[in-house]
Amino acid sequence: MKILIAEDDLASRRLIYKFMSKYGQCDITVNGAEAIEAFIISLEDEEPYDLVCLDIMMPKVDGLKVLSTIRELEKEKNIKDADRSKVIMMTALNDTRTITNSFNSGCEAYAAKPIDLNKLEEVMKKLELIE
Amino acid sequence: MKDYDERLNSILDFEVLLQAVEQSPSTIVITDTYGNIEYVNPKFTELTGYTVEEAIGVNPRILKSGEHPKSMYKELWKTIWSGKVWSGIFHNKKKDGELYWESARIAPVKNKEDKITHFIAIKEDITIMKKMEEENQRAKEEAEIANKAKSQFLANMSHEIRTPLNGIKGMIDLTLLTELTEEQKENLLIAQDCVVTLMKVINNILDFSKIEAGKTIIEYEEMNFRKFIENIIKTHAVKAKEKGIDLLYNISQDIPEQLVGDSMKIKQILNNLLSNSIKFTEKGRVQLKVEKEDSCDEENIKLKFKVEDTGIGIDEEGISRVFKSFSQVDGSITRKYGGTGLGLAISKSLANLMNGDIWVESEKGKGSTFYATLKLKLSRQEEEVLESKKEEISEPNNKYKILIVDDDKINQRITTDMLSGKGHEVQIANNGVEALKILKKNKFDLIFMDIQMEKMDGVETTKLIRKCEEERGTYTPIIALTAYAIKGDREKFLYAGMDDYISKPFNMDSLLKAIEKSQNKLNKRAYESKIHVKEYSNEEIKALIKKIEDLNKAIKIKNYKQIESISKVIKDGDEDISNPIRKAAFKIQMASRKKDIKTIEALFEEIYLIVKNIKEREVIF
Repeated sequence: MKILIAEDDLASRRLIYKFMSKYGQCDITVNGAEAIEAFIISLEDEEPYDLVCLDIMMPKVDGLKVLSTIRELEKEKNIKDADRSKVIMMTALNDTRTITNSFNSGCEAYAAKPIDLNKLEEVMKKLELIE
Repeated sequence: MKDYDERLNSILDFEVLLQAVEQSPSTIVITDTYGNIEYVNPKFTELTGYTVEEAIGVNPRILKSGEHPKSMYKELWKTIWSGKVWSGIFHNKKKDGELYWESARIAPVKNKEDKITHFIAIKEDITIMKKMEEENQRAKEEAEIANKAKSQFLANMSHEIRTPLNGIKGMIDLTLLTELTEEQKENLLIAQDCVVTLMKVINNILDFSKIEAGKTIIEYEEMNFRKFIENIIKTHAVKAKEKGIDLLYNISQDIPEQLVGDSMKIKQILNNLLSNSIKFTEKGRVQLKVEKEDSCDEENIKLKFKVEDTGIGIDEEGISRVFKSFSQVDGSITRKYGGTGLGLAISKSLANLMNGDIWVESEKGKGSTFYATLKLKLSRQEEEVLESKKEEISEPNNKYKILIVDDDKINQRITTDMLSGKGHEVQIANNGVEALKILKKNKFDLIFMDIQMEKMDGVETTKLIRKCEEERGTYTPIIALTAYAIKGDREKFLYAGMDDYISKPFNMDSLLKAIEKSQNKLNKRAYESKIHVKEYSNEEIKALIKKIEDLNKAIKIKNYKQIESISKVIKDGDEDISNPIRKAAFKIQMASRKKDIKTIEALFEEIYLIVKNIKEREVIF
């Protein structure tokens, strides 16, 4: 499994990377702009990400913008909904608007920080990323 | 009585009375019925700076500061002429121009025939009092501003505080996943508990400050109410079971399944009430009941949440304190039960924000019942879907020059009306040949192309247009209009060089959407056509080679920090993300974060070859 992580905070990045590296090959980005670039490259190389973990409050480009850009890029490439990357938003923001915005922008799951690793594992099972 | 009258008579001596007036610490002014001053006492001259000579015979309006409306003086004259006493406050002006405040009482003096002969004004200098009042007010306002600023600061700090805390918790969790001795594990679990507690406290404080700073907004969202309540109960069931108490709930049948409200905030309130009740109940049960309040209208519904427990209860004095911020019922409880004492204060504020309230009925030792009333909105999901669809019909942001190629007059009319109605400039070609002629002389932002045309069909026309454009190096998006779209048609149209198609009959919405889509694509195409491998100047190549050498050194000593920073510099050397050098450099950057030396080395090889290639090419030229 190919995983893209976008997180500006070192500790959170490390946590998600350490956890996710059990399940697949991770690419680590530290802001939204990098995340978009990495995603574009993955499409060009025809090695798309199975899972994208996005922080919302990030410098340069925030996670919601990254999310909508990812969905646009996939549409342009005519990638079917069933085949698109699964996106989990990970953030300390937990107000209704942010959550609704995230789902409207097309994320598959929303994990409020502090990240509960057991729940995260469950979510990944539900998304059929792991068994 | 007789004694008193006698004494009064002796006092009523004119000289004695005059002395009383002259000695008075209040200003006393007597005017005739025209308002001209006949007498002023020494306090008047002392306060206003006008001498007796200057004051006598003039109107008291010499004291006017101009700060009061005319209507006030009108009212004054009306009152005293009607024989009544007028009292009020003047902001008047002294002879030297200084302003002062005085509280005045003006009364008419009547003779034996009940006719008004004079007016007497008795006035008190209240400037000092007034100043103090103003200062108090200012101090109060300043304090409020300071408090708001503090709260705002705290609210803004929220992310800054939560991030490192989340970090600590994450690192503990990570370490817990590794091989540990029992003791280490125990220590970490304690540390984890501490972080969770600290987080709860901080979240409470931040929530409270956010409310105080007026930064909390109620957001209305669709929710399945029954499911929502069930989920909340589920999260508390574990704790209740641990303590061996029953947790029950009941939702009144007349509450609709689908409602609109701020689920996060309602959850916060209910979580608070339920966890409180469970916290303070040692045996028995905790029950949540939701009922519909009578005061409902077509749009809103008021719900009454009732959380009933068989816990320790609260005495009367405690009830008055329970909703106050930073307070728990008493100090000893704080130690036994923990918590900031902010939960209920927050819940109450949130309930108020949702046009509701929270209160409690309780008896010490028998249990408590907390009530929360909240106003929600009734769901109008079907209508809303329609509305949101309507909203999607976006007004075009830009006006475009559009060519319509269609041989049907009626269709021409319809399409033209739709487009020009939205401000686009429209031209018509009656067939493919005409379209080609027009295109030779004019440039358009977009072409709508009918497919079924008699002389030359749309697919044919499009092919010819694309051929001409290729020679000229231009590109105009073409959208097919067709009545018979079947599977495979799309591919056919796209193959012919069309960008999109709309099937007839089409509506305004699909037309406008197609326009925006084509223009967005066009922008992207323009961007893409700019993409080419950067041409490096000699200087740039030299700098690049130097960086590559540095990178090589860093890779050899496996200094990942250096690898990352150097590859970032290489990456930022070109903004064009399709530049293979930038791409490889970015990949090295990502790999360095994982300390993945194999990938780094492979990617370095890639960059090295590209740069070598450029260098050789430069030499040849």
